[in-house]
Amino acid sequence: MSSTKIFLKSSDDKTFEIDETAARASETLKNIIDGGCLDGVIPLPNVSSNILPKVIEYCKKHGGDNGSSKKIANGGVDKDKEILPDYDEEEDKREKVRVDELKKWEEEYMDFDQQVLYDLMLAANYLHIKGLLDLTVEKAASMIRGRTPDQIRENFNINSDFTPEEEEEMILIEDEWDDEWAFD
Amino acid sequence: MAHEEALRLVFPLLNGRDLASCMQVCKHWRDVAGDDYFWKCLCAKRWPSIMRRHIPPPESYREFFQMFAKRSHLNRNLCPRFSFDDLEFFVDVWVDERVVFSEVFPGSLIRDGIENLPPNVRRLHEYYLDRPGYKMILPVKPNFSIRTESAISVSVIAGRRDINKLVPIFTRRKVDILGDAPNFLHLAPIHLDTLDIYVQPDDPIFLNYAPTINPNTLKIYAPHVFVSLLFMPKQLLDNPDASLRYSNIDEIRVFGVALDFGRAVKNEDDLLSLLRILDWDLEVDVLTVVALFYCDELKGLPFRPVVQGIIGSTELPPSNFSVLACGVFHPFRACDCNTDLASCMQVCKHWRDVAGDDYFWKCLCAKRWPSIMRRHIPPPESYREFFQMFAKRSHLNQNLCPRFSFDDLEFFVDVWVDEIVIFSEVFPGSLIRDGIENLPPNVRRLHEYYLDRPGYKMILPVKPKSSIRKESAISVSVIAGRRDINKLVLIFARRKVDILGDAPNFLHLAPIHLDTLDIYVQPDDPIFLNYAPTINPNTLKIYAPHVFVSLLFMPKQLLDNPDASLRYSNIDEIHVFGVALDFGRAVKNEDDLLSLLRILDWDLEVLMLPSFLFPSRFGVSAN
Repeated sequence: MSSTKIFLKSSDDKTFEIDETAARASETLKNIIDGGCLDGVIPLPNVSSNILPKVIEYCKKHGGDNGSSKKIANGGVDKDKEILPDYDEEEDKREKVRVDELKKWEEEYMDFDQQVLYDLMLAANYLHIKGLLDLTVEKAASMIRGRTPDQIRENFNINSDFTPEEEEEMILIEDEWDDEWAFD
Repeated sequence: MAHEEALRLVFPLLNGRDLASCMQVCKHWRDVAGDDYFWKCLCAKRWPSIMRRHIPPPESYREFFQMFAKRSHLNRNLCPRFSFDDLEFFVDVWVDERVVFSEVFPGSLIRDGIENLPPNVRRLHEYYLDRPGYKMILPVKPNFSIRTESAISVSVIAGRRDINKLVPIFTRRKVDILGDAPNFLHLAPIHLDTLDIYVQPDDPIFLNYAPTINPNTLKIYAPHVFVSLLFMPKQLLDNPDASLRYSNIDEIRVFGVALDFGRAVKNEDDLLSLLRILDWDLEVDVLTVVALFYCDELKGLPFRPVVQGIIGSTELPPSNFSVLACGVFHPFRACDCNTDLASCMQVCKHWRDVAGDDYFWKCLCAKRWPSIMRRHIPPPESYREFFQMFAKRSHLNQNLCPRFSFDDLEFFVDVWVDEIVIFSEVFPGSLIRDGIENLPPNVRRLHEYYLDRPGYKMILPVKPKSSIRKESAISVSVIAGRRDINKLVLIFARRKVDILGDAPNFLHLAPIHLDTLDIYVQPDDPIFLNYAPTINPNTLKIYAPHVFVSLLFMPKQLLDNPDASLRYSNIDEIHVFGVALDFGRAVKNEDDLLSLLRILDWDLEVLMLPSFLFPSRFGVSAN
């Protein structure tokens, strides 16, 4: 299927090409396309040229769908069950392979430093690419969860600007939300 | 600032502990993560039903979260809030109705009480003192002698200096020096090889009489406290090498009093926990030591000769002052004299005026609680009122009676399915009382087996009904609120429940159509019993899993076709009509339930005003 090409211009005035089907992964771009403003180049003043290829790579991979591997795994299987009373084992296997393959791709795709993570997250937010936003936000959250402030600083390359006195009076929260499944 | 925008996307995914860590990373992160909006979301996520009632909103959701999250385990509820330094003990010993000992012990002394015993006494009672279980030792100085044939009675009252309140521990009771149950005086075996051995502790009788806390009723019975005199037979004092048979002891010298809570109290923390749940509501000014009066004052009574003349006589002269005096001094009727004197006040106006004289009541008080009278300064305005109040509560088993009713209660119930709140409601206590009436008849019939099992169940009717797929992850949280004191306590901390009913966090499933189904009878399973210890008598701690939450449901198949025959394993979707809370064997009726709720730690002060719904349903979407 041949597809219309769309041109995107980054904040530093570099132009990139993307298929329309892929561009529709972005809610923002989809609205622009559907609004008939396709003449020429779409300027993206919030996305720089080192991030935009990364975004395009994601959109290409995901084409029309709008979810991460997690979403597909949950949503997809459920849907099958509801629609098909005779559960297709072969289809289930193929589905599983697809999900596994996608997970592997996501893993490689997400291998970058934390500055890129910020920019990608903001780009996904700006372009309304829900799957990419979920992916990046989740990655940032996973760099925080269960870690001490020191470990978080290390993960995000932050220097503490607290005075020793301020560090002393830091709050400690005893939150057992995650641990309370455990039976003691 | 772009950085901040990114953080704002990430922080809603974190739990409270992680968000707190973020606040410690740097100033910028602190300011972003400190935004009360994130904490409001966290609160709304964890306690949706409370957020709906919480008006006005707290000044800081972060503080609210911190306070509330800290106390998310029931088994922390009974930890002590006071120390031995806050305690004092009032001990009185009567021999043949004569006060031979009356002393106030500071709690700190009792802690080291055992150090203060003479070595030979310790050696003699080694067997008893070394038995497992914590013993309070009150060293008696100066020591006193008792002839073994005497009638001995003892009273022990605990006082808390921090709140100036009292509670009777061992109500004045006649104790048998031979150690007959239930009011026995422990006698440790003496010189094992030479004596008739009287081994009380491991006797089956002893065990029967030491029920500590009865798990069936949750009431504490008076005889669960054992008072022992730590003594030396006079013969052994005179001649330490004497060989002595127990039956030959005719006089003992008392060096200490030991209080023993049987198997219930193993260490100091247990003791403090036990004392804590008692009913500290006898407000009495317990100030500095002033020997106010006791026996000396009684000696000055004008009609003392009259009294002496009629002691032991059961015939009372009719219209005479002496009847009152008799009420005061009749030796073996100490427990009834209150009613006697009160009855006299109802005879006629003249008697009322005479018997109402606070002097008589002061004497009564001095007679019954001499050690308290010694500390009681300033004196109460009316000794009669003091007496009445104190005498009313002279049995430990009245201590746990409820002080609030179902109308004072409300219950916050939240149900999550796959992390989404599907049910969040506040139930007034009165509704729960009739909860079972509000269930549809077919649901009641289906769960008949469970609902008719012994034990009281709180039924919270769920409207509108919620539908849950069997494979979903279900978690439930139940919080009780008291409207009278505006406080909350966690009953069932949010916990994942397994729809198949695996212990310990199981969701009860009543057997369905017994004859057609795989029966999954949890209740009488030994596993079930293991996991339903209610109050563990060994530690007096309440463990979280002692509350069982059950969903009262109908399988969708049965709703569609009431005559369907259905195997349990074929159920794939259920409709929930109610939530049942079940305290296992601990709670048999409403009074038990109120008693249980009462001893929980109602210290989460939260403003809860009458029926007002928080503007946005879960308090999040507003922003």
